[in-house]
Amino acid sequence: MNLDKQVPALLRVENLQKYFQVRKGWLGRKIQTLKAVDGLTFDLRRGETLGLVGESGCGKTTAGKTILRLYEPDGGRVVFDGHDVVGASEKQMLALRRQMQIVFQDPYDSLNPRKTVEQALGEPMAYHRIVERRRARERVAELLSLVGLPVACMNRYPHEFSGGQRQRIVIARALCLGPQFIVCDEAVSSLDVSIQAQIINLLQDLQTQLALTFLFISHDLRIVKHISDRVAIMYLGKIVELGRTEEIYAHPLHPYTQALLSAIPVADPSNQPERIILSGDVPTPTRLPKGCRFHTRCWLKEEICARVEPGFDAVSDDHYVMCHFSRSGKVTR
Amino acid sequence: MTKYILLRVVYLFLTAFAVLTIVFFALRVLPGDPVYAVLGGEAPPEIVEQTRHELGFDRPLYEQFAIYLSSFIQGDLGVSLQSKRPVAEMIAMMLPHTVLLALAAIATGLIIGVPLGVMAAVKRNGWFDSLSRIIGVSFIATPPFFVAIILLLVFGFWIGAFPIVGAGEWNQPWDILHALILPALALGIPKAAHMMRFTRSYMLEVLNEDYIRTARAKGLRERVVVFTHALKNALIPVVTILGNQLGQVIGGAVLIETVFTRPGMGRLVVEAISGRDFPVVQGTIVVFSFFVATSNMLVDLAYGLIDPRVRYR
Amino acid sequence: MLLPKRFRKRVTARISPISIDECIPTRSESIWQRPDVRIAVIVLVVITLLAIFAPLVAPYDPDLQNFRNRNKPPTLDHLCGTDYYGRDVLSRVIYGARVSLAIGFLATAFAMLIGVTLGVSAGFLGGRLELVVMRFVDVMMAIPMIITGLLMVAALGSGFQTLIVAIGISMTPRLIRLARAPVLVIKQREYIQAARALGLPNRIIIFSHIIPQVVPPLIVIATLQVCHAIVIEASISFLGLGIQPPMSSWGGLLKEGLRNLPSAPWISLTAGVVLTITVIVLNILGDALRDSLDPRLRGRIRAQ
Ligand SMILES: Nc1ncnc2c1ncn2[C@@H]1O[C@H](COP(=O)(O)OP(=O)(O)O)[C@@H](O)[C@H]1O
Ligand SMILES: [Mg+2]
Repeated sequence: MNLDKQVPALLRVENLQKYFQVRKGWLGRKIQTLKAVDGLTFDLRRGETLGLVGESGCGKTTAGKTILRLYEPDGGRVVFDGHDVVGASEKQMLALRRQMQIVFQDPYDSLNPRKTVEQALGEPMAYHRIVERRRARERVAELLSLVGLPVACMNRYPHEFSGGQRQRIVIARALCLGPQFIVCDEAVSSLDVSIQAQIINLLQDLQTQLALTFLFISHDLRIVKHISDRVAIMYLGKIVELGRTEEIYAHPLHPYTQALLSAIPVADPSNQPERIILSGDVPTPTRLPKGCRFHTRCWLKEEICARVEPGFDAVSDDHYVMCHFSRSGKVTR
Repeated sequence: MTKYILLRVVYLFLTAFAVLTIVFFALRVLPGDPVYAVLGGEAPPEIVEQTRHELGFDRPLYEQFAIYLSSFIQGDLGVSLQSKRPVAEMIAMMLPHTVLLALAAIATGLIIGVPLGVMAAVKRNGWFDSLSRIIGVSFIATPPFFVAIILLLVFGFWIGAFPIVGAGEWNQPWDILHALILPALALGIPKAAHMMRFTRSYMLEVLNEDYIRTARAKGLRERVVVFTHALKNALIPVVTILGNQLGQVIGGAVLIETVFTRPGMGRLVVEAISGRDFPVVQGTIVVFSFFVATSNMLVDLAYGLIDPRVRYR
Repeated sequence: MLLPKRFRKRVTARISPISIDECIPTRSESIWQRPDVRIAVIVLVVITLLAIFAPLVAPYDPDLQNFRNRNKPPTLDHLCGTDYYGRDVLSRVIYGARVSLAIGFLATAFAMLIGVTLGVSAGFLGGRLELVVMRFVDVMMAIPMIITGLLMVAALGSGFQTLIVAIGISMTPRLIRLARAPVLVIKQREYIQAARALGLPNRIIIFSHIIPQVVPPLIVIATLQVCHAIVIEASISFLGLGIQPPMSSWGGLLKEGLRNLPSAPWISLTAGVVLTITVIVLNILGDALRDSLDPRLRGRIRAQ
């Protein structure tokens, strides 16, 4: 794991935007713009895991999909290993797809129920001509043992597996083209706690073994703390705080981060910080508030917050916060 | 709500316009020359060309369409190539017969179908339910024109209780009604089977709901429960089905009118299509589609009025 | 919400996360134990066999005229009587079955082909293509099917092949709707997204992931459409625009019978009864098959 700032970024996301047009009103005449991802900026260094956390609906999945161009971005740049992703031609994109993969949340939805494991893994390899036809089976077997599944399950259908086993198959499929970077979108959220641990361990093992880089999307702050080198906190389509995991968890600077962290139960109850309950309305992403997007729920709100959107400023080396009071000491607890 | 209705009306006219466009160009792009249909196959070439010119069929298609459209908007649907009479006038004469038949058929369907459906639901799994199920399955699929032929044979020819030809004159309401009965039954009986089936299944659903159980528990008479509480709610989905039924009934009327040799839109369109009478085909089909689209719209609106849970999105 | 109760039970019973794709017409469903379905299957098989082996089973040559035997009521020689030209009605009905069944199935197949192509591409590719196709479908659905059929026949001419095309085209809008609805569900699934992320092109996603899921239930639903096709063919021929005499068809026989209704009702009755039985049987079968499908794949076409 490399936290050195000098290491060039594997993935660079700059001011990424993804807006959805949602139809409202009679006959869908009223079209509103839903800013699901609204100016996302971060770097991902080779070999690291960046945790992306935030409430459900804040745009994490959309961010992951837009980075992989499963959604066409509406603005911004994505640069992967020196290659422009947003402007890539179809042919360039095909090459990039080998490098960037995604694991989704729901293992029951992620596998075509009518395809055997071998078909599910074999189809993309055949299309990309990863291996010769007669070596395809061997390669599938390799992948299966890599994710800890018996080779014999190659000819089985998804419904014959448990959720955890399915997620292993999904991970094997994500690995089949030999990627460097994987987006794990709530990859363990739908699993039982004991299974979650197994899959997390598997992901960590794979990371060291294959030198993978992860964007680990989750709403579970404890898992993120465990797996991530750095953490990004997302609120209504934007990152409000970004920094090294220990730093964020020890000294959160953004009021929203503090509120989130105060909700995690800790082992020693005497140490439990006072829980911050957010009041105020959660704005709808179709009508974002002016100024700081968090001000409607913020307990530190001042006049400026409703007027001016704060910048995303470095408070210390490698720690960025989007809050007017990040340096004022007002937020420190 | 008003805005919604307005939009639906606009949409309705757009649909009619689209149908008109499609039919207009389909008729002209697909093979089949109206000029020969007017003159017969043997006409000398110069006459053919002259007629073609007189009828405007030698102009570019878009020009023909523009001309047709501008007069269409003013209510002029052109002149029949065969009878040389204005199409609008022909439609005005035929339309009332078809509308009357369609409405009578729907009414027949409701009057026969809904009570039978209620009875079948109340006496669920009894002999009446089984019998009505068998009859229902048979009649849902029976082509109305075959029902018409049987009715014509039995009540027209054998018993002689009803006229076998025509629809009567408008100034003789009794004749009109008399001539309407068999065709309305022919179209309505298959519809009744449909209605019965839907009413039954919706009634069963409603009869199982909590408020009906409560009503029963309160000791209300079964008949009161069935008719005041349950039927009212079961009718909501039945109404939505009416819209689609009207479209099908109008389609079915085409054949029924042929069986009973009745004047009507169906006869008009069939004759126009086989005679390649373009203006008449265009006019009649637009009117048909206007009817289908209107009935769908009305049902959607009625549905919203009856059931407050429906929100127009 | 408004599903009849018998569907509703199934919906709740199947809410488990595994679900729609695994509920493709499973033969294990109990529909084959229903007596009406069994009878329907037997009747359909008999009619189909009669049609296929018409030359062997028909008692007479359907075109053989016998002017001494005009409009004769049913006798032991001619079980369903004879027509105006002295032809054997039963034989003509048996030969007519060939036309009706062939056109019914082929027109449905034709409509399936176009409907699946357009419906699946519209549903999957979305965008302007979907908008255009679905608006077109909306408009076409406003014209009664029989009128579209007549219009197409008038334009293309009458004959066996053109009837298939004409009826097929008039059925297509409905099938486009039926084919698109499940695609909208399936394309949201994560394995489709995953396939995209793996760089698989639309062509492979459609043929390898979408079509295999959409088509089997659609074929089941198409059974119901076959009876529509048969009725439309009979209607068009009945109006004199379809199969032309002397070729025999049920619609043509009904037309001929109508002209001779008081003097020879057996012509219309035989053709009409056989037509009705065929349609009822197909209807029972289609209904039963459709009920055995998962409700969410059944499509959102309005009750009809
Ligand atoms: N395909 C879509 N069309 C319209 N709106 C969408 C779509 N996908 C997501 N959204 C909206 O974008 C916002 C962010 O959603 P998502 O990225 O799924 O959030 P998260 O993964 O953080 O829970 C939500 O308000 C959601 O309703
Ligand atoms: Mg998500």
